[in-house]
Amino acid sequence: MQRDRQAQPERLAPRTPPGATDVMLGDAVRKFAIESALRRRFEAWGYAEVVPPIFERYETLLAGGIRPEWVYRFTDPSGEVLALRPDLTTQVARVVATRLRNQPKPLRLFYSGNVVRLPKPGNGSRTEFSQAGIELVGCSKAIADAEVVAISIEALSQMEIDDFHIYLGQSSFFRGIAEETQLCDTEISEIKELLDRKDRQTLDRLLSRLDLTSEQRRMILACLDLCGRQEVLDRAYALAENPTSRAAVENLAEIYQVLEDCDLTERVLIDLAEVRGLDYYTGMMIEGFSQSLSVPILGGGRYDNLIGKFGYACPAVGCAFDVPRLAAISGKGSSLPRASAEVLVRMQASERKAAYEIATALRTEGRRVEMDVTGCDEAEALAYARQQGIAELISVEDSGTRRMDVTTREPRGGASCGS
Amino acid sequence: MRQLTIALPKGRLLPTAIESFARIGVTLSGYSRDSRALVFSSDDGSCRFLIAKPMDVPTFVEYGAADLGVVGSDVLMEAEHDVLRPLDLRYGGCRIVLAAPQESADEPLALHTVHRVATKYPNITARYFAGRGLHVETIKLYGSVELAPSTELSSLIVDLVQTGVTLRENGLVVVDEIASTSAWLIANRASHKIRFAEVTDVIRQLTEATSCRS
Repeated sequence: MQRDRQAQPERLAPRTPPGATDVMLGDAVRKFAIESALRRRFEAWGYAEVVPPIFERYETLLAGGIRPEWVYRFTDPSGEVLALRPDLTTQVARVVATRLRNQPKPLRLFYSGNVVRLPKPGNGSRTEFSQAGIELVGCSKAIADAEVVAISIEALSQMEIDDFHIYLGQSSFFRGIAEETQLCDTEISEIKELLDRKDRQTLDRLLSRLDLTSEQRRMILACLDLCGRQEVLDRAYALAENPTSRAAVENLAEIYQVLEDCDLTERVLIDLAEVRGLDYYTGMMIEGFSQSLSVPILGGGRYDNLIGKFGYACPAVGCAFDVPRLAAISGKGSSLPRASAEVLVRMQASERKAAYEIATALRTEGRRVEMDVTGCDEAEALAYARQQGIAELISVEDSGTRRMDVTTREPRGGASCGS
Repeated sequence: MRQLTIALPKGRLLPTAIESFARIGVTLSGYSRDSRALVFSSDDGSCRFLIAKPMDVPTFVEYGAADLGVVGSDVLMEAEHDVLRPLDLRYGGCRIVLAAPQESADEPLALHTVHRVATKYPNITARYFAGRGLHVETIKLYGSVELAPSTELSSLIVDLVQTGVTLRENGLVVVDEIASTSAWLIANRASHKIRFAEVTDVIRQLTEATSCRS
């Protein structure tokens, strides 16, 4: 007895690492449908795919401005610190600065792949999820920003997400205001934090302690209200008179004009109250929301300094789509194709060749066909097919081939197919 | 349009929270203390109220199960939720204090051989002591924290105090005040964008009602 137990190999109770998920069945179908819809849209606009590795040198990601608290790090045998990518934009920037630097600009690139992030509050518990995005590299004009917005709107509409809105901000708007006040970095980041939390009272108290004119105080507080339709641009222009902020508003107005010319502003809102991402983006910022989800479904903006960090100064604008969140809301209610087969083929051992030919002919027609591998009889095959939701059974025996409807058990037309 | 969902904290702050919404015309006559129901619609049907544990209110709001919430700032200090904090409602004022038994209260904190601190707020406690270069062992309790010193579970406590009566009756005195707290209106990040007009309207009305009172 004792010896028997020792001979048993030790069984491991399988546990997934925290935050790790297996995407499968219907979810996998939806994920793939979203990815291919995005891919089609990107390609239709002339974007070409880049497939970077899942890991990078940590220093590359750090130089690109990723958040260290997001990154899984590890070392290779030589002691080099590597990291799993928390986004793909930094990698695309590296590719542009190295292998694509001598290519004529603008470059239109897209990617689709998984990113890995340490779970942190506010980011939910997701550690690995799929992202697809575009980068329009080498053009600093407003029309390039507008192209990214237009593709975002088209992609979401194409996925039949009919309750989305796109929010456009401009990082230079607040930067202009901040510079004008001549406050120190610590004070500015305190102000930004309170603006970010929309905490008007604490902000007001802080501002009255700081060395500011009443005009500057009023201006910073008014930033909280700069969210809404196109009229926000006029309010913002009247509010901040410094050249940086005004240029920011003019840039956003130009982007908006391009979208208006294309009749794409119905779902576009202006949000100059948004201060997240201010240190990363250098111009337009874009975020997409659906009514049915309390988290962004896409995000991005202009980052003219990023590629330069890898030794090649080059403007760029882009955005990334959150595939699982899109999968969760897209085409809700509409029936998605099942991942499993439509037809089950079972055969007598002697009829393998005939069965294979029937299955091949059906697959050529584009049908999804499963071949029985258990050697079951017809009754068992019927039961299995019903359980799996397979509509049709083809039973191949030396006495002949029978095609039947799994639910009614009635013979189907074309019973003689293949034989 | 979907109703605006507002999470309210069960307990101490609830009556005042309901009253503050009534003052801006969102009355809740369907609510009764004895009811087991946890969801109530406002009389005009514009809002849906959830009654949740105070510690859970920011969670409902962070994940968008509620658009807005009312919660004590002690909860916001303890658990760092990613929620907007648009308004200090200025009611339900309390203090988070460090308290010790009467007989050891005069010993300087830095020289005090701190063994253990019992509290409902382990994060606030850890931050407070770390900021003073002191090492402590925090013991998480879910209630009746004042019991800890008399039973020698801990030498100090960090707790929320309204009047101080409970402390006194348990032979404890305040050694330091860590923070003063009050009820805050919090908002979900996405709701604040997606339903900007409605959400900012509620914030504006509550702001006006709040400043009338004080």
